[in-house]
Amino acid sequence: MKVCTHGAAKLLPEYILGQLDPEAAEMVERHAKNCASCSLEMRLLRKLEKEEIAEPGPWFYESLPARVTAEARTRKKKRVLSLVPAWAAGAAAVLVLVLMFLRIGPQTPLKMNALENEYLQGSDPVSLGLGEEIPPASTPTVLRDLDQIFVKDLEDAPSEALVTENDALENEGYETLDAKTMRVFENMIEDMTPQKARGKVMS
Amino acid sequence: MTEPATLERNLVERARKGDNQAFEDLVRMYQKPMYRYLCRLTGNSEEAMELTQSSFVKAYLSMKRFRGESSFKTYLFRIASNAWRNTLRDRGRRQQVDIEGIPVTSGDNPHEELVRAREQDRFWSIVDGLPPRQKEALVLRIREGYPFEEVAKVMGCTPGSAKANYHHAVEKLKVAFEGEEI
Repeated sequence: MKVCTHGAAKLLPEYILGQLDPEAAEMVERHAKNCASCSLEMRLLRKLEKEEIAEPGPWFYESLPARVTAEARTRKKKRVLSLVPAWAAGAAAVLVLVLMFLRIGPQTPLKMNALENEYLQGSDPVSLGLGEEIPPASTPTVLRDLDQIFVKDLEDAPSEALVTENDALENEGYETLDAKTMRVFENMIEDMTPQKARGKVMS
Repeated sequence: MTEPATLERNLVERARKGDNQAFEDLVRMYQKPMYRYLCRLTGNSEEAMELTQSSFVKAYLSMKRFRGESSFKTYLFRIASNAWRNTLRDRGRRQQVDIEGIPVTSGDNPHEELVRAREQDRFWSIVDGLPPRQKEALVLRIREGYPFEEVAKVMGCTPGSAKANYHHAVEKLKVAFEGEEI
């Protein structure tokens, strides 16, 4: 088909889109009536412009914004993780396992008060006011591990003065020897409970 | 009342700073034009839905690179066009429709609905069979009503190249339908 070089041919898209003023639109229509090439182009463009689109269900538009941000956030996280070399991730995992095994973790600094120092240097805890003497008859002849811990705990029953001093230290952000002993003791008891043991096996 | 351009600028600025709510508002603003544009390019509703979502995700991830040199809609359409062309390339199955092999409809066919459907199929088969750049230029110019300068920004080429692609597409359609009732 012969290509039309008339000025109206260049205005066909604007005509179809309704972007021409009335005079120009009329000129294009007049020309198209006598020009086979422009007439065909006009019909083709009109068909293209009037095409109906199969719209998706309302659910698509309603859920799209949230789906987009959720997927984008997931991909962003994956992208960040993919920037960490595999060897670094492996080394970090091994380090975490070693730390867990050695029970080394971030701890508050340990500071002992004067009474605790004296006790550690061998002074009698009763004379220091750290507890009451237990009559020998109440102690079983053969002590099992748990009994020993229990008796030791009674011997270490804190005096009022020690509690006050420990409280003051704890308020300053220190972990006292007494608090640390309690923590270790609680951990030991917790480790020995059947529920915990079962949990470990299951996990 | 806030003007759409000002509203868009504010939302873009907030989205660039990581405000997800602002980005979701931008999606709400442009999801219909994006879907329709992609539907016309792909000719397939499901594919258009998938590409609409993935194009918005790409826009989200590259939000910091948007410098506001074009409108946000143009920026989104460019991402959508690239996504569509990548799909074609990845599949390696761009369908080149054999124009000669498509049956020509006759106005005398008694089953008018069937004729119309076939005619429509033939028209869109030919449009879908155009080279991607030509089809893109045609859709952007006629369906979206973009001037050639804007068509060029979406296609990532010069306005002259956009115009040439458009004219090639129109000429091919004219050759295919010469002497036929449209």
